[in-house]
Amino acid sequence: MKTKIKEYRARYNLTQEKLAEIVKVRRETILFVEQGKYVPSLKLAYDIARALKAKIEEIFFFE
Amino acid sequence: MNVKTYLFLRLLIIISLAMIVSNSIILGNFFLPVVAMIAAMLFLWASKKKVKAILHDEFDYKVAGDSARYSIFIYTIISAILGIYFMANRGQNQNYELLGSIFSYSACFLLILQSLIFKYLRSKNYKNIKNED
Repeated sequence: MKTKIKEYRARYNLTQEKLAEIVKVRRETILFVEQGKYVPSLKLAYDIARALKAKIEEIFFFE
Repeated sequence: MNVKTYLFLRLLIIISLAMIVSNSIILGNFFLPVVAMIAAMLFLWASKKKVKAILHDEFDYKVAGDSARYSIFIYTIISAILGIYFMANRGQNQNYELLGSIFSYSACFLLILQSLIFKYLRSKNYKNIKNED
């Protein structure tokens, strides 16, 4: 799985820590999701997309 | 309370608890470690509630599930091998039969417990899904 979390974070000037705080997970989880090492639950994916003001399909890509 | 303070506190309590338990074993006092353990658990539970940061999330739960599965698998295999070994060599030492039984039954007990908890959690989640429908 690939994500565009990093690009969107940079767009809204959000750190991993701040995003983690918004979606109520640990910073390490954001790091793993960002690197594509962990496929998040639908709820977390939705929360991340909402925090980054985008749709899920704009952030997450399955190959 | 922030996460660092909580983790430091937890480490301090674990060290203190280890010291109390080891000293109690040396002194032959078995009441003190039980009291200390209950007090430590209550204290940790209370201090955990005061932590505002997220300590566990879905990734941790997934990792915990995977590690539990691997632990059960490894323990069961090792116990079964040791159980068979001790049972096969019970003629060499009179305690081997007891050891073999302990290893074999503990592996069986763990598997039964795991399957019971699995069934319970699955049916509980199934009921929740049915109620939501």
